[in-house]
Amino acid sequence: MAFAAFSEALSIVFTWPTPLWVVIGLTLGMIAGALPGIGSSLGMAIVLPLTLPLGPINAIILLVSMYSGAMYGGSISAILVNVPGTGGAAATTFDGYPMAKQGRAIDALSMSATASAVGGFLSVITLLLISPILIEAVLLFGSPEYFLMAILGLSMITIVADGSMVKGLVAGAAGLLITTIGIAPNSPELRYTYGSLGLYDGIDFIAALIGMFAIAEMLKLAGQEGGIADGDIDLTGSTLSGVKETLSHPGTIIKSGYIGMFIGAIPGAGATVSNFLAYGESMRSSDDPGSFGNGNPLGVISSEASNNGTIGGSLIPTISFGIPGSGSTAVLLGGLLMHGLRPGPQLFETDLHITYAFLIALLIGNIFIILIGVLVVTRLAKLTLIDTHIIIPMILVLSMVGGYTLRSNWVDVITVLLLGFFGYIMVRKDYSIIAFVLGVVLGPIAEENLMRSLQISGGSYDIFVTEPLSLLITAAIVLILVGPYVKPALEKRLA
Amino acid sequence: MSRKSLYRRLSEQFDQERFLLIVLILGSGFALAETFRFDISAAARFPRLTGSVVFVGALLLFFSKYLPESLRAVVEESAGVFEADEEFEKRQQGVEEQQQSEADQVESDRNEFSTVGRPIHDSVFTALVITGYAAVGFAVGILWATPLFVAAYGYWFKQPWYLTGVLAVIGFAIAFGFMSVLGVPLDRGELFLTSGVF
Repeated sequence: MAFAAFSEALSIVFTWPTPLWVVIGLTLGMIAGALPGIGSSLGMAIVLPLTLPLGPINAIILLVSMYSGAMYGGSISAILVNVPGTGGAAATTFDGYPMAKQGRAIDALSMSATASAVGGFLSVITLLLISPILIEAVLLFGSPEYFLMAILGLSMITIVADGSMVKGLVAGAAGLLITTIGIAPNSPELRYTYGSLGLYDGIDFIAALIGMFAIAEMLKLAGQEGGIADGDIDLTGSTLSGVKETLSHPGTIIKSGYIGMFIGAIPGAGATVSNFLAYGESMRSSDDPGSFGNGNPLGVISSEASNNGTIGGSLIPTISFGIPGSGSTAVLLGGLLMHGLRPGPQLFETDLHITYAFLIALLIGNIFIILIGVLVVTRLAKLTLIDTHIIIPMILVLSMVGGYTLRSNWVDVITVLLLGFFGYIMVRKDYSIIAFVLGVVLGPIAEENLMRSLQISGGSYDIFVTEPLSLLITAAIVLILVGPYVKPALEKRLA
Repeated sequence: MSRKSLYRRLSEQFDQERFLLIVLILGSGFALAETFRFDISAAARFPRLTGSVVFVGALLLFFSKYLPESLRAVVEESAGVFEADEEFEKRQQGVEEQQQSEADQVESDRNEFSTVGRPIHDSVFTALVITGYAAVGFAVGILWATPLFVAAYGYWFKQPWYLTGVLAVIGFAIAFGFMSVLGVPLDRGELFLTSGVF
């Protein structure tokens, strides 16, 4: 079955216009990634309504290509102006910017493109290779396990995100709570609709994504001063030497790519964490750790290989259990659901060819990253000169128009606005918007599986601890939520 | 009291986190209470579970100052998983501090509220202007409200008139593109132009 699906996926990806969507997605992603304050989640969220006329395969390919492109794009401003375009490129500033100041900006950008492409390629190839095992694992999961996995994903985010764990839990639960508006799953009960037809179908999660990512971020950006880079950018150096230097460090690329993949598979961690870990590991294992921070190419290579490596990792929980590992995968999950694709067994059985198609598209995308990154980067660098007050009104127009386009329903526009304001305060006060968004995306899946589980068990919650797999997940949830508080006390007692 | 000093006083006294927590407490409390009016008890289970977490968590955060020290630590402290190494934090802090001091300098050179010398915060204006955009869009259709919104934004942020004009045209083109490609009636308002123009 897997081989037939793989062959079908290959023919899909190489049929026109799918390769075009790969290139468009990558280019849009690079642009979004290169603009600090925009990034992959926001870029993908505002493009999401535009994918409505595309078929599910091309839409998902466009979105994953954007995700991949943005990971590389984040390094452009990190290297040229010392401001990471995405959180995943924060560690790139440490050595990328000093390299640019030393007149090696093009070297650094080429290294970033090559390391991103190879790191991303490795993680997606690995994902393809382990997919038969994943398929077996996913098929072991039933409704109770899916409900528990949703709770596990939310719990993970609360301990990984900045700020207090209680804030993370409140944010995640608030996201789940707003999904209860509308008709209840598996029952005709109307909840919190008060006779408003527009609320019968509930809050649209894409409107929530647009509000939380786009409006909240633009409100924040509006209070910041003008352009990103103030003057001309000195683009000197050599593309070829950058590519050669990167390929002469295969060990660093492989190690960093897999660090990224491993971290990416943990919900909530993502590229923001992996690039620091990979950078740290590269520095630890170096003969000359003192040169890090002063333009050591290994700093750029490790950070960039790891952030693209997270893509393959973050897709594992997203497509297997519907638990996105990051904001971008939350939007991707939104895209899957919007186009009628359900994560879990369906993506590994009847829709396996679609899963393979977007993984193959990601592989091809990584080759394009080198080509676009190396050939067009001097033009992409100009993006860092754009005034934020040109970007903000355009993003806001796209958000409002996109919000209304979803269902031609004013409830969606109100959702975009209110959750945008809500998200702005949450970002400022260290409440995890990723946890909230995850709650909004997972809410219907979690509730449906909870109700189904309780129908199976006749209303008994024992169903969540009777099977070994569900017991294991329940134990993991308890450990995650209680562990951070019990561990210091235990350590104190042992000491 | 001048409008500026009144605004300053209000913005100083307005605690965003308290406001957020009050919204969460009232919203989740209301959602919880409503579940007892549902006809089908199974449909009340999930909102009750999630509403309880929000209600209790938000209450704990709201009253965290008054909690015993041990409980306050649990409520306020980060779990600290995957926190960056000290060395990276120092570097990152260095970059952030530099950016902050540059931003502070610019701010003090211009105005304490706005980067363009306006009497209210730029974020507050942006929030107000998008609300206005939605309201005008509701009345006459988003297509017609779009250039007005872009023009208002450009005027407030003192953008050159020709740039504002170009952006207004691009904004209109975006809305028109959505309307044409996706077949969404963006030219129709709920109060005026209810039959649309195109």
